[in-house]
Amino acid sequence: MRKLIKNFEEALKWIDVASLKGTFPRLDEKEDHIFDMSRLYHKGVLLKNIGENLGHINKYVEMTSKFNEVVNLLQILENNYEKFRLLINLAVAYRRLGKFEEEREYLNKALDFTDDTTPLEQIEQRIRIFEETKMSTNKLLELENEEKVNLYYSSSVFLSKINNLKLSIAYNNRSLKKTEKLSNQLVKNRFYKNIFRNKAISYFLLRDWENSKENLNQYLSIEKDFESELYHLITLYSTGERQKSEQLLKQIMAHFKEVPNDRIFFDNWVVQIMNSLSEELFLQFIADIEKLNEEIQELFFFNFGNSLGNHGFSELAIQFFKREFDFISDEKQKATIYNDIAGIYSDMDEYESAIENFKKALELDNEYDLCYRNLAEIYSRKLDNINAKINLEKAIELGKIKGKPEIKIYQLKLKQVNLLLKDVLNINDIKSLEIRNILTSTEKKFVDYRNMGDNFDTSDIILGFSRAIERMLNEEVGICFEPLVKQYRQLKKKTTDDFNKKFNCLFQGKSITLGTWIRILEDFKNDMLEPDVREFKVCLDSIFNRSELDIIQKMCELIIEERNDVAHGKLISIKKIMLIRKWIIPFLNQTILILYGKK
Amino acid sequence: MKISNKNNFMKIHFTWINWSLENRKQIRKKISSATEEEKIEIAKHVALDNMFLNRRNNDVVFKNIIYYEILTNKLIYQKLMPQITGILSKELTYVQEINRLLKEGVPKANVIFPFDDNQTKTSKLMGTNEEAIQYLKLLFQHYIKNDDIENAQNVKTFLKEYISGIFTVSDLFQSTFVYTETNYPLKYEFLSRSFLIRNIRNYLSYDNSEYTHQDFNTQLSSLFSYPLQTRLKKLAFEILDLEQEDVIFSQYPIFFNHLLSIISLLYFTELSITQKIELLNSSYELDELIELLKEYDYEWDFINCKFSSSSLIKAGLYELAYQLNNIILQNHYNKITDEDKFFLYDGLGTINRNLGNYEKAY
Repeated sequence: MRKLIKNFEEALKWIDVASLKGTFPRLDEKEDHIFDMSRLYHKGVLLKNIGENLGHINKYVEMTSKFNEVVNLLQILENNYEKFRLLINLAVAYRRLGKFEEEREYLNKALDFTDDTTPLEQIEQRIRIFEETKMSTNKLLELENEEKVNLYYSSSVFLSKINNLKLSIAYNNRSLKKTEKLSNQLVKNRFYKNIFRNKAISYFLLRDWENSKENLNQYLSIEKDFESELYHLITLYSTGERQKSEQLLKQIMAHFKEVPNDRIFFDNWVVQIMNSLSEELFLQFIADIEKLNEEIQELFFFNFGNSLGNHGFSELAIQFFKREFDFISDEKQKATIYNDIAGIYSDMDEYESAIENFKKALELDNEYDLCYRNLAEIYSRKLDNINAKINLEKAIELGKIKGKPEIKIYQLKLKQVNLLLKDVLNINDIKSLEIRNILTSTEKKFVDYRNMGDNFDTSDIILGFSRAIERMLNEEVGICFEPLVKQYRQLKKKTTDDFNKKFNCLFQGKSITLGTWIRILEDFKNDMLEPDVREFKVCLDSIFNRSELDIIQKMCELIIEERNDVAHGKLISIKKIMLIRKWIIPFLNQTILILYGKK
Repeated sequence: MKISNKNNFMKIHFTWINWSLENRKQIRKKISSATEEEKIEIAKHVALDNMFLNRRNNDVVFKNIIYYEILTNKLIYQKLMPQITGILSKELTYVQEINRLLKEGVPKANVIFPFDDNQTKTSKLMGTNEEAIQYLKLLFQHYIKNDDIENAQNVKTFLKEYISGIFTVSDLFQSTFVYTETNYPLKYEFLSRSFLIRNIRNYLSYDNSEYTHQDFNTQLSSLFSYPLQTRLKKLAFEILDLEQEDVIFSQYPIFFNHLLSIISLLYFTELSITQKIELLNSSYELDELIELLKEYDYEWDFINCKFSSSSLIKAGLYELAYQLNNIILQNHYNKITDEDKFFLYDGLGTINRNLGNYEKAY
């Protein structure tokens, strides 16, 4: 292993070697002169370091010699900023050696070389301190010590922020040691409380409950802080301090009751509890809550239920909400609990349970506008816009009576629902996800285009509808031909030209186009058909009656006319689309009912 | 998908985005045919992956440990590199783009060390990335125009994350495009949230959107990102058949930063739920990281170590900086230049002086 003592001397050797070779410093090769200056500055700092260390080991003659070398360098340096920095370096070196008068002298000299870029404030502050303390060495030494405590403490805070908790604790301990040497009790306490708290949190995050508790105890003996009390309670549970934890729990809950503003801590506290306490300790915690007075219990179950719900502990949240029933007799209050329970079910996408509970709430309080609004929301999610509308209207009616500003939001929502109701597609009844997707995206485009104004070509909406209809017919109508196709294929039956025009694609594994569907449906009205075509007609007639097939045909004709225009490059405005849609939607809805309602 | 020419976007900037979109698409595909139980499993995995990205954003030691694991565990390395090769091979258009950049004298990166900009799903840093937002918006419009609802949906939710800085598990489970609040399953969001709170130690500390100490993290992350990046560069040059003189490519760190984020996430996604929890619940400290450097003797870069050392000194972590300087002097004495030796000894002296070891410092 290389001997690593006398670092600065070694550094001096290498800066000289590098300078001789012309490799230091490595900047822009063209500006040799500037390099030279920069090298000299670095060398100056290094000489200052060497001098300072000589001072620390009481070799003052050598120290002075090194510092003089630095001063000599100042004569050669051309840049004021470099001069300034070097003088500050010397001042700091004197400070570290406890030679404050020299520090002041060099700080003053540095001021001669300041410009806009120099940190004047710090220098002036330092000089002010000299004046204020009248150069009291003790005071300055105390300040030095404080700086050291601060340095370690800052490092420990930094380390805890980057998750280096064990190292953070080690640095806190150093800071603590230095703090003990401070003489001012007020300053000491300021450091103590910060250090204890920081240590306590680090131990807490490391799940070292004993040490966390001990440091929290120390911290709380200096300063009370509610957030720390919450941490403290968890450490008391985790270390099995039954009596103390019960007592602190009582205080915390009383505090929550008295200072409603501090309930902002509740949510995070619940997360900490769920994150830190084992299942067993959590049950113990609940058992302790049950020992408290009823008023506090109610407050707890409500807030705890809410927070648990927010963080996905739905079953527990519902349990806590239900516990609230024990404390209240007022029907309106009970209704709010049912509303909260329904909210949890709604978050878990359990719509039926949500509706059941919203309805229970409304049975108890039929003037509960928010609950009507919530119920409408669930219906809306289920795409049951009729029920959504009914409940929103009720919410608005009640909101108006009560003069609630929220009705503006309810009204907006109602506007949306009405829009959907006006010409809404029964998309939900369609079994095929792909067809549903085509239609929903087509509808979305329609809404988007309508919001964008008149200047856009909306022909892709026509294409969306026609694609969906074509697929629907092939999946739900074309499928009835499958047994016949199989039979024809097996028997290698000879088919007529008309049959081939209509159904050949099925033998090639392809689907029937929209135009062909119209031809088929139109021709099927005629009894004079080729035998093979007739066979297929009989098959279709066994499933759909004539009026049903007429509706389907009409729908196809409506859309194909527009689609052909689009295929020939015709642009379609939103106004035109709105008109076409008005015709198409009722036929499409009826077709959906015919095709999917039967199943 | 060609949207870059018209809008003058550089594909190199969006490697992470493009890969993430593809990754999300695969997840959505899995979800579409999954049973309910499988869906819940997927939700847990996805939520854990996001925690992983957050952790590596905030915890530079953790980030380095993952790089170290990838670099030194042969099995893992051999498993991950072909995937990166796949990504690079897929992106052959980079070559044309790089040639164009060379011709146009496109601005080079202003960084001299390979910083690792943190790619996370919830990072606020990403939220301010206007270029990425614009790119995603154009992608969205492109898919909408082409009736590609699945891709449009995928881009839309990713865009939402970029703008809001909030990652929502349920976004991946949203089955239909229209009527957003209708088929939006909140359940998976809440299930994964309670799962994380119950299983991930110090859950709340992950929820920190204030990314402080970025400089420190950036500099320290280069300790092991540098060797990994060196290998990725070599691979990129080979696969894309580039000349080493194509300096812009190698000086365009964002591309390699994206690859570093991708390879790290790929490493994590290979793990089971139990392994993921175990990894996230482990703590790693700076002194352990410096210890690892002692053993590592492959790709080496003094500049990064020098920056790391001065970052440690700035943070008042003198002993750690001391260890780092010593490792360089002991293991790489013959590889470093005279001025580097000056810096290292000067650093050692400063540390010793600050620790009060004046004899040693002198």
